[in-house]
Amino acid sequence: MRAQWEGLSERADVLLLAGDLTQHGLYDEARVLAEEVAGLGVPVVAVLGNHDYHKCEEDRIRRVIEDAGVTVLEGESIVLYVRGRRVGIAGVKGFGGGFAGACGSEFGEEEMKAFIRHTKTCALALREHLRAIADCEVRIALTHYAPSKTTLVGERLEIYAFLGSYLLGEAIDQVGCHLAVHGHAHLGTEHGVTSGGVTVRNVAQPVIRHAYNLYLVGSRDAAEPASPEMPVASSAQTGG
Amino acid sequence: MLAPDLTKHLVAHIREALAEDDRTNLLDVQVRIAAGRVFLLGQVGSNSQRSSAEEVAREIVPLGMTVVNELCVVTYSEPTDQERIP
Repeated sequence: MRAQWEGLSERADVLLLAGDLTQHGLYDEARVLAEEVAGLGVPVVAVLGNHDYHKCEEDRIRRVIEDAGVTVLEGESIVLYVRGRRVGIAGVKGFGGGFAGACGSEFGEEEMKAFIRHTKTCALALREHLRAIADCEVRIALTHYAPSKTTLVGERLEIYAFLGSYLLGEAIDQVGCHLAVHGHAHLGTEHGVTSGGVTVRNVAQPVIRHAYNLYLVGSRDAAEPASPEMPVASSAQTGG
Repeated sequence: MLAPDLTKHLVAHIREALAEDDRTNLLDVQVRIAAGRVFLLGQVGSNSQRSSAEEVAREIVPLGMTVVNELCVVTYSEPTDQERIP
């Protein structure tokens, strides 16, 4: 990816990575990524994806890319100062569970309860950290799993419950933000919106068909004096 | 040729293997079976992934069935446009 990221600092203010930083969940893959993102010249903010957990090396994966300067959010938030504005990003991997009318409940076998409990924990953390950045001029929710089924169109309905959860979307709608970015759904659709009207973008690379996409978020009014604005670049690398 | 219902099980097992096998860990490969042939469809990120997917699938399919590898290797370039989000 290094070749595609060359010159990114001239095109974007921030790079968001929506998870699946590795294919096999291996530390060695993350080490390669760390070398690629080091010195890009823009802040890089990431969440981990399901692939990054596959070999139980997620802590080492996180550390090696953090050592390269990447901010990894897992139920956390960060405020960046970009061209005189405060840009808040709340991030969490998220999880599945499904969407209104076809979703799981914390009921029955322990395995099922644990599944939904994890989603609830993620959604709660997302809501808390969106609140923590509520006073920022630009606010972004970054997840791996989808907060809305509108960006899943193209995927099989039967697997929606493994691709995201309305609980993430509800957290976003309760607090509000300018943009929600996610990955994970490779056969889905780029453009979507939460039930509450927040813009959602599925940036899985097979969906956007580019190394990354550029979003100019929270644009100033034309009448407002402004320093030149540059977009955030977003992508989710591998996975599914 | 396998009966249609067993063919569906085979599709599921091939996809399961492609996801779980450490040589692949691919969750997006589409698998179709027609006329005794197993087709691998979709996109992967490298020639190595493409050949590993075929290798894993060949280990699953019964004798007498062939694997047709129609996976495309894709690389992604930089975008030319940007989207304004108010």
